[in-house]
Amino acid sequence: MTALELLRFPFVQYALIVSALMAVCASLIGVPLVLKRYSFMGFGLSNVAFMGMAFAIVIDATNSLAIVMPLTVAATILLIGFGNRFKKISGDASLAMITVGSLAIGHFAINTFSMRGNITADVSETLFGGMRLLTLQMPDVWQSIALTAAVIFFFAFFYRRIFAITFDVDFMQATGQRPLIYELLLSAITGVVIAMSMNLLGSLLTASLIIFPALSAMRLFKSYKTVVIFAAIAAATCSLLGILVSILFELPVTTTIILMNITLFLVLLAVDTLRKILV
Amino acid sequence: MSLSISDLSIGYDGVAILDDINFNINSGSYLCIVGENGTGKSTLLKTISNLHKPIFGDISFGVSRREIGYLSQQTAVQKDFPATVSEIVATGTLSKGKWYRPFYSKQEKELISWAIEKTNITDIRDKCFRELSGGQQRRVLLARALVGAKNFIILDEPTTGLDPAATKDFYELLEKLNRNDGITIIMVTHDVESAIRYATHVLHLQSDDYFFGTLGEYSQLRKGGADE
Repeated sequence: MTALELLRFPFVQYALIVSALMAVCASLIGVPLVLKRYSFMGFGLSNVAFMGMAFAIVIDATNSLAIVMPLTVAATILLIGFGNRFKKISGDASLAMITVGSLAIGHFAINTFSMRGNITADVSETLFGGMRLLTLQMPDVWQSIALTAAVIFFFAFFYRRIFAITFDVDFMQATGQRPLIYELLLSAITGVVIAMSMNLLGSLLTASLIIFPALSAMRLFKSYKTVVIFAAIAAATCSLLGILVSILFELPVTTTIILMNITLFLVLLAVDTLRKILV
Repeated sequence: MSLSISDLSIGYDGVAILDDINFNINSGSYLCIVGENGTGKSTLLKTISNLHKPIFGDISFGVSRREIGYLSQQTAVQKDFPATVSEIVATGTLSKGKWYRPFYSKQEKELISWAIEKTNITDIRDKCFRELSGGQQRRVLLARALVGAKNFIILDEPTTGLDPAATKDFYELLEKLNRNDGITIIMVTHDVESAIRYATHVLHLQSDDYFFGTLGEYSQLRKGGADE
């Protein structure tokens, strides 16, 4: 079967559209996260979303997002929005506790309370995605179109402020602005994107989409604007290629996408290093 | 435009480092805040800059904070930040821009160009911040502070990590802004000798006391201290 023939199947079309859109969303929020040294936050928060998903499985909820979303958004606001301001425990330690703790609680909950038969498949699917991505329906597509439109609008509209809170919160505070409002807004959007992405792509892919495209873009580009735009394009391209390759060669879909992202990063890292040596 | 501090107590978690701070400076002044490490000069500056809550007392500029420029110490995040000089300087306008406007206006763009010229960074305005020298980076952050505030700038140890030549350049630039453009300057610094000769006023913090006066008075005091 060729790639072109594949495109005729609705399930392939849905997977391509949704994964590309979610990649755009995750990579957009990834740029400020990575620049603020919150790279690991994406993984921690994906694990919180995993715990939410586990709860949803346990109570057999019809709409798992109703549980995953509020939990993830709350954790994001707590960690990113307020993280710097009221630290009793260091940010690094609280993040590590949340990452490990939520994974353990989620796993415990599924194994202890779930009435469903195949627990291992549930856990694996929630962490690594895969089946879900290839069995999407039209409503999932609409959902991700709506989210992407909202995220792009938010980024375009508040672009200057997002840049400012990423670069220097103190400057905003000292000049009588209210950075906290924008930090909370960005945290809330981050939480929503992670919850949705976790639901559709699994937690590992979500965490990768937050870090790799942003880091790749930073190797190549020198202005914030070009970094943001390239991260989004790179993420979407890796996802599209990853899905086609994985179906054609019968590879695991989400980890193939991640490997695409890693490869791109390594290539750009090599280019950047060579450029520095030669110039 | 002036700054008046009355009955100010600064410190952390309700424990005061320094009590009862009172002083005034008029517009056009150049105040250096000096003192040993641990006497609270950084805490004082952060308190004045709204980054830290005072335990007690009043800080009044006579104008909104949005009229004031701020130049912080270099943060780890800024060191390898992928952004151009103009992108960074431009954020200086945000303190006055309306939140619902997504782009910079023509007027703001002119202001940005003005600040870039003033700080002699026109030739590097499209360069990436992380590729600049320490001295250039300081100038970029100074330009950003100028965009938001043409009259009043607060600086927190702006020459930390700069070599002597770059330090001298930076101080001379500040002096020009103060003398020629009448910009009021408040600066915390650790290198007393080279910094204070440009100042009009000095605030010297000690472990539980402080001295405030003009540069002349401060020099007298220091000379007197040395004679004894």
